[in-house]
Amino acid sequence: MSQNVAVIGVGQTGFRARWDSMTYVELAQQAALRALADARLTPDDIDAVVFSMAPTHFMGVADCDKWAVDFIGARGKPFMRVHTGGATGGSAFHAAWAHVASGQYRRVLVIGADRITETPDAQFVLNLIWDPLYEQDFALNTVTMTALSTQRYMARYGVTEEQYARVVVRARRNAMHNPNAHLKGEITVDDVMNSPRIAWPYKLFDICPRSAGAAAIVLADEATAREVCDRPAFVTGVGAISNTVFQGDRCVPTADCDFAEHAEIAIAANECYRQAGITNPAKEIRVVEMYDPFSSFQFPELESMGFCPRGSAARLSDEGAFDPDGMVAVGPSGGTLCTNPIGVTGLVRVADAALQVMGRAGAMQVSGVRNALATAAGGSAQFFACTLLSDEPRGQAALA
Amino acid sequence: MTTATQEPMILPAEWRVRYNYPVGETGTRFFSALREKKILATRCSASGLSYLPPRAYCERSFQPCDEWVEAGTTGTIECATIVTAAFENLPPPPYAIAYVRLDGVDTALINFVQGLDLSDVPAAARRLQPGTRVKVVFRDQPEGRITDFHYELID
Amino acid sequence: MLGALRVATGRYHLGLVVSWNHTSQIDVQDVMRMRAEPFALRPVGMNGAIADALFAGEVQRRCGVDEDAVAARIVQRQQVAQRNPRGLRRAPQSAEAIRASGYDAYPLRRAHQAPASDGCVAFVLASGAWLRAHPQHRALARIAAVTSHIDSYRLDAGRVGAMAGFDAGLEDLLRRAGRDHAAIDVFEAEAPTGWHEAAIEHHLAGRDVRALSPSGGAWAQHPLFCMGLVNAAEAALQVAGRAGDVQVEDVHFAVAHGSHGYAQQGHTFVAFERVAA
Repeated sequence: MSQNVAVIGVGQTGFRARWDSMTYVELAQQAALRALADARLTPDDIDAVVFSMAPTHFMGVADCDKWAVDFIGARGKPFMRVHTGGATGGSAFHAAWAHVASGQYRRVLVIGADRITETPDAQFVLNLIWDPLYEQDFALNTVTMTALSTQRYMARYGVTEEQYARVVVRARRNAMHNPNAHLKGEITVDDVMNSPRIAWPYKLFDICPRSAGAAAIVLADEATAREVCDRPAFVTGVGAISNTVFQGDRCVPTADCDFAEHAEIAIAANECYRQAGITNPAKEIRVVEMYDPFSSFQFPELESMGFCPRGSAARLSDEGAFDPDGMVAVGPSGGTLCTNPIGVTGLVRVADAALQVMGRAGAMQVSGVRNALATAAGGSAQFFACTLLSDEPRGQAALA
Repeated sequence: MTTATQEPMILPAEWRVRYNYPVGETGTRFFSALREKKILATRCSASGLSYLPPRAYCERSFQPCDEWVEAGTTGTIECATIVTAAFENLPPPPYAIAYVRLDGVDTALINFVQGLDLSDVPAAARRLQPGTRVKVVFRDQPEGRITDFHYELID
Repeated sequence: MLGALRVATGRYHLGLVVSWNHTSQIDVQDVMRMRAEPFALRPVGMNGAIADALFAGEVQRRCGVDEDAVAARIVQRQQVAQRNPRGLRRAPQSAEAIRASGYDAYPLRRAHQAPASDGCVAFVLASGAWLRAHPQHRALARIAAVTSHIDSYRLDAGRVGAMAGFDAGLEDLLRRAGRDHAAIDVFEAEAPTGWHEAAIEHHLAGRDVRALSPSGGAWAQHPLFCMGLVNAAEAALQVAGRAGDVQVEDVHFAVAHGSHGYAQQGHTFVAFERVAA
């Protein structure tokens, strides 16, 4: 009953600390122009636009999606903005998918831009996610929040700080093949271990940068995709899940999902697998572009998503299983550890995954990619969105 | 299209916003009890789950929470961290925070952990592992705010 | 709109759509001020009320509506609103009291603007397949179509008050619903001021609309960012015959409208049809 939907064009600006030569809306415009050119479409060909943007407190203009309308060719079109914190890019992509899959719109642009540098008060802004009565006083922000769940995972499985450091080394090395990545280069485990301590167990290098940049994707129905695109990336799995903002509910014996395991993502990923008929993720999915703003995200999430048994990911990582030529290539783009333009990061993950399936990932290209998975996470690690992309439409199971 | 012939300009601005958050009935009972040095959790008889922070509705059964339970004065650390970086508008480091499951309550409540030597961070972190027992310590004059109490390790 | 699209994909069978508004003691207009781009608009102090004043000026010019007409319209709508069992049931003001209230920005008077209220609204959406599998459940209304249109961010005369997005969006909606020239029994409009309602009525003139905002619109309740969904609830209740004291007779097709942005930059529409008994 769903229409088949495919990615037919991708546009990204480079991601860096600052983009002072452009206003926010000019940055979004760059991504729109690139995605349209890549899709070989004009603005008039687009039926609807979805804008991907998380808190606007960073760039300092409320409802900046409305300001961007004229710059991205959205004037006179159906338009909505999606916001699920860090998961925004993934959720916005899902909303755009729904526009086409419903049969109501044929060619949809999903686009966003973000930058953090307009304000020095970024972590203060992120602290606002937490309940003002019970939790804001305790300096909860995205760094301390995930430090808490990481400490719990480390205690459970005996993972060391050095094992997380190796994840950073791999990501920065992968990012050297990504012309758009923010941080890149050859670093050592010692470099990570010697970087300033932030919130135990994190050091500076365990944490993503604040990146500025924009990204856009053009989605189309299958007929359009076959007509204009040599190798579209079909959206074969769409799964998302939410949980309570209260982390204290999620680190206790009665929790339905333990936040140390990022267990919610299992539900979202399994829904993608069910839709696409994937039965063995490690064998069938060649690339995972993960929303991993911290070095500690990969282990629990790969385990929760069924790539390896619980507690085994750290050892597999050390053995090279997640290298570009390993069992599954995790973040061949360098991932979110190297590039995090919050409101659009989830979209960049989808874009990088789509390029792998389309065979257009350039120096990042992993061989033999038929299926690639992109993830996004947001809020108090309470929103997860997973997207599976494939080289062909895959069987859609009837909904239970 | 113009080519840039000048250094791009930056425009400064500021926004100051104040709020008055309605606490609600459930919250009002909780914060009032803090003034009496008591921590009260809500409980749902349908699911059997008790909640801190207190909730008006059970998030498992979606029934109203119909009971109040007084939390114990001791509890177990579920996770903790030590903050060593200075974040704008947040407390000066170093400080420790932990989610603690107080005895008799199913969910964990966050607060500062005080009285710990934080000069050797990895050593301090080892003393805050999940499973560690802590006690609740109230300030002498509670004000009806979540910062009326903190946790300390039980030696 | 997104909820309906998701169900229409065939992947989702039950959905919950929720909206709520709970303004604390914050100055709403100061928040609206932050929506202005910082280079040209914010320095002149643009906010929601001032944008609405620009809108009102354009409505005055384009639609030939004057303040007396706006005051009379508001009084009438407030009388309707007082009967709405879901509203705040405030007593209507007099036209004199409305005209005597000060200007926030000419020609928009304080009393031209419906006061904000706290509130919340939720929908449960179900697919046709789910309903057929669960015959003990009954639909209140069928969603015939959804769409939205956004206009330029600019506030020049060509955009403000032209309501191009409203016209194009409504036309798009009716086409998708297969009812291009059909009568609209009820149109629940998002009209935060009397000027907005005058403009909307003017833009509906070419269509056969039996009842405009029988709920009383924003004068019944005005939870600021939920109005679109509140209007959808009112429209669905009308089609279901469950609108109570404000029920219009024999409603088969109702349209709900929501808007957002300075001077209604964006418009969203949902069309509801009566479900066969």
